[in-house]
Amino acid sequence: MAFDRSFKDIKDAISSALVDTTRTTGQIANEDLAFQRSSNPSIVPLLEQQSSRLLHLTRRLIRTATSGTDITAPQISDPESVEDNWMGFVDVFDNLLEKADACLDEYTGVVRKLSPTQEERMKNALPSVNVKKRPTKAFHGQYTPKPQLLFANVPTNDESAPFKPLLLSKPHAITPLEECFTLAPSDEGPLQYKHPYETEIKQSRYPPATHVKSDPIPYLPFEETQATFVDTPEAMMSMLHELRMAKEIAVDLEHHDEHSYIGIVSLMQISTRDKDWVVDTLKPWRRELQILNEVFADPKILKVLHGASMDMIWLQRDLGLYIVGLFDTFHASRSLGYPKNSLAYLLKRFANFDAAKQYQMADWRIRPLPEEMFNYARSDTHFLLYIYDNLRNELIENPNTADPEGDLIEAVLEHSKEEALQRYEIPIYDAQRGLGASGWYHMLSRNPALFSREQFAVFKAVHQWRDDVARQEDESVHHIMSKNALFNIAREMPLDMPSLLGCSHPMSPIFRRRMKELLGLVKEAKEMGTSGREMKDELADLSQFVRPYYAVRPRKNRADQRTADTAPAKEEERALEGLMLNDRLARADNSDFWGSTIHKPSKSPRGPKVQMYNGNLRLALPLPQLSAEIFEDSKSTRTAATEVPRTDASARAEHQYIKDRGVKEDDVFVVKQAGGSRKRKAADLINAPEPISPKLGDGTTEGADGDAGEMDVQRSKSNADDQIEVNRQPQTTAAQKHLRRMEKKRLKREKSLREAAGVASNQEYVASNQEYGELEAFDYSNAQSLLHASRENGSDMKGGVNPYNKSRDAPKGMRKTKKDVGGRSLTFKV
Amino acid sequence: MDRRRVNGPAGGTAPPVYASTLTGKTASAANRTRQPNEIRKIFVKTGLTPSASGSAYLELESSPATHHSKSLTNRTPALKLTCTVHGPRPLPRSAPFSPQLLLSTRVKFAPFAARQRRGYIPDASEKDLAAHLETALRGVLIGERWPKSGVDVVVTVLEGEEDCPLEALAEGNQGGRIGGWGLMSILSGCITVASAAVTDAGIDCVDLITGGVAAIVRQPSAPLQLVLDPCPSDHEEIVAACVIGYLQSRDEVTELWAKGNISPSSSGKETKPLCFETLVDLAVEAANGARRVLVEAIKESTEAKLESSAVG
Repeated sequence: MAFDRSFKDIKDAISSALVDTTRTTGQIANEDLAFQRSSNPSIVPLLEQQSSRLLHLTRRLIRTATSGTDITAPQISDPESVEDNWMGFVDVFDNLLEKADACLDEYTGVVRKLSPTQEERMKNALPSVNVKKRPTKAFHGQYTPKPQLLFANVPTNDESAPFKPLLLSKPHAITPLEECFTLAPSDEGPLQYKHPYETEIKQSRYPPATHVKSDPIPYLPFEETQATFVDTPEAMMSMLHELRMAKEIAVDLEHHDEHSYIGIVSLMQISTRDKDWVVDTLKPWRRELQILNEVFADPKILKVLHGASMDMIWLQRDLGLYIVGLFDTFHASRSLGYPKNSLAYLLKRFANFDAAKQYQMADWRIRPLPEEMFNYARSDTHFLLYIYDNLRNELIENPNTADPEGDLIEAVLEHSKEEALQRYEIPIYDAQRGLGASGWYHMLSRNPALFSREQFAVFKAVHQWRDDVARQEDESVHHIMSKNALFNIAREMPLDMPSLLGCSHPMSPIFRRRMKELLGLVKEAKEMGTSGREMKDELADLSQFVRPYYAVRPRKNRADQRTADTAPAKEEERALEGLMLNDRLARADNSDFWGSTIHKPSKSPRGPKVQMYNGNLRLALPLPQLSAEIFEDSKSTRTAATEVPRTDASARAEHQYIKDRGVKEDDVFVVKQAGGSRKRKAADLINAPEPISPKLGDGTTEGADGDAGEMDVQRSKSNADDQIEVNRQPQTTAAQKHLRRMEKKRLKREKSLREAAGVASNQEYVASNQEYGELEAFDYSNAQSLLHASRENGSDMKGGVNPYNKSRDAPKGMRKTKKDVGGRSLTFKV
Repeated sequence: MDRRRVNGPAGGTAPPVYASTLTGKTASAANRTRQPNEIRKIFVKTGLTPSASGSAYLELESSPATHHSKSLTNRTPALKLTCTVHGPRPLPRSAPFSPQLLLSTRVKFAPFAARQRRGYIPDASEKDLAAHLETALRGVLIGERWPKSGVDVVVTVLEGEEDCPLEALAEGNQGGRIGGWGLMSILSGCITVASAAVTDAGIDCVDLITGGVAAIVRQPSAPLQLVLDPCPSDHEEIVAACVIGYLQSRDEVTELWAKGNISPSSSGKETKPLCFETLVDLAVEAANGARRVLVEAIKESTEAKLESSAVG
């Protein structure tokens, strides 16, 4: 209302002012000012003053109207300039009118609102917890200083000794602490320390409440409760005091592994039935948290986690915490066959809570923790105990389908125990065999690309370099160089800076700094690679250590594989075995249809076709211009066994037609002469270039024969010129003969030489052949399945390339096939 | 109505079946002489059609029991298929750009393929077979290697199997029509013969695909039984059957078609689990058997090809 009234006031004021101004202007225009000025000199200064004032006002108005637009204000210096720059004024007015028009349209609703309304502005100003919003850049904290540098034990990333448990004391022990520090042989590799709580976990019994169905205890409302942020040892002790009282607790971790080689636990959330804690695990005293083992290793207190497989490793690695009495809700959800097993799904299903999972990948090292992230962290455990109650009840209700005797909950607990028994091992880079999670074998075996020797060597070298740099800089390997960039570099093998820049994107600052170093490495590896091993051989050797994921399952032995099954299943197998195909090759040797017409495989109708094809090939390929050079070249590839050609190279080079083309003097061309006489003249016969049917060795003979017809034409064509040449010919023949003799001698000498080096040259030949075969072989076993092929191929085709360019000259294509669609169907009916 | 070709008479021209021929010879149902785990002998030959870029001929032996019979009408039909592959060849200029090899399959019954004559215009079963064959082959061909090109795979059924035994035919049953169970063997044969022809054409595949069929059949006075490679005229009744297109070395299935009355998994009481899973496993076995034959045949023709090219 107030707005309306003020608008009315403004409107009235403006319109009255406008009316006044217009009226005054009209009055002034009616007065003959020019006459007044000349007749009454006293009025002149007054008029001057007024006109300069008006000009000043106009100037100000124009400046105001044009400010913030891209229109340049017209220059106004004297009354005449208004007339001169009138177009400039028109622009300014047009702009103003357009603005007014747009505003009116917006007001009447013809166009959508251009400016954000009040409500929208309010909404943007106050983001709520549950509104999905991408985490801002700040939460990814590119340049957060490394908190691990302040730790009491700064990670060095170069340990090669086995990981020694961080335990200082061992609450709830069955075997004493000292016994835990014994090295024991692990499944593979060097000696490792045993899991300190191995015996305890194996012997632990879950509290009886886990096997009893009872009503779920509702959680306290999320909005009305607050979590305690634990960042001092005192707060930790008071939390521990409360935790001791609890029957079951929920635990979750937030881990950061982008800017740390081995990764750091950044946050630990703990919830009881009525309280939440968020523990800051980035404090220098973080290892003191192992006092929590009093609760964590207590089998009487149930620890509920979700997807704890990595959590178990992180806890013992960073904090020296071990869990006895673990219940993993992930396994529970999986054995109940839920459509999804994520925590977000469980939260939605049981607590109807939308987890702000976009914070999952946020940088959890940020301190102080932003409100949204704090709330997300708390929500991870706040509802978990309630979810556990529900899952437990469902597990008890449902029978185990896989094993009729077994209890579903027992299976989940068994899985959880196995998970808790995992042991952290320090990642050691295996440059030789590339095994282990961080090794190159893992990466290559999952990639369909087959590298050449050099590429393989470069890949290994760059992979190791990446690992080394990550350890030195205490960053993750992916931060140093992405997997994509690694493969690109291995494929391209860049030797200069621009090509390296081209194939390594995105690029971290560390990578940029060390690019020179990498270039040298690539160069070195490429050279080494030429004598290195082939990738497929190496992978084949290594596959005995690792079971590759694509292992082809031999279908025949399936019966043996299932021997571990129960007795009825075995019986089933036995019954089936009788039906398995016998070894007889079910091949018929003759056909009812063809009878005896096709009997011998060698007389297949393919034969003549191929031969015909060869003949065509001979005619179709134009022979190169015969000259001395060609004969020189052919010598190097001829083996000792081939017949020495009796051709005289020099004579060949001086074939009449070729020679005449150069000497031709007159351009007059007589058709009859060119046609020549049918009969050969005597002179022609003498000088007939015998080498025209030469024996050039087996390879080219046929080619020459094929061309013989053509040659004849040429010969007869040049007959006329031959006659002119007759006089010169005898002189040249003597020289030719001499040359011929020399040539023969040389060839003989070479032949004997070659025979001596026969074996060596053969090998060379084979080697050169192999180089041709260097084309990348298609690796059938690693080829992507066509059944599950990705649809990425099509996307490459965009860009400004005309795909038809190449096929412009191609022969006319097949006709468009009409696809059968619809209609009555027999096979899809039932 | 097809006006471009010389058509046979509109009605059926099946030769008459005389009762005497039936009574003399026991052309009874359920005369399967093979073991349940034995597939019919396969005759495969590639490269028989010189004008095609690749071709193959496949024949399944007919039941040996009927070999002795002199009567033509009494013969159990065998399966005879021929396949030609044309291409890869460039697509017409008017066709939209395709980054992959376009596969088009056609299955055609010769007019004389079955007891009842077939017309030229493709009918529903032919279209269905072509669609099935296409799915089977599409998972094998490495299409990215031939952008802007297409390949035609044409299978002609020279002789197909009939559904019901001759006795039923004599009883005036609406027999002689290929449908239902016979189609399954034909599809399996189509897959195998197309695979051979594609190989002969030199089109790159990830593996050699072969087809196989397994069925649950009811024998007279016997419980239900599982058999490999059923011939519909050998059995009194086929309860369920499954045809599969299988890549052995990759252990992949590109085509699966099952029909009939089967339970999805075993109930655990019967000695021989007559369930879907078993059926699929057995079809795979049959495909493996066909593969061994196919490999031999392809080896042989490749050797012959090499030999002739060496001579030439």
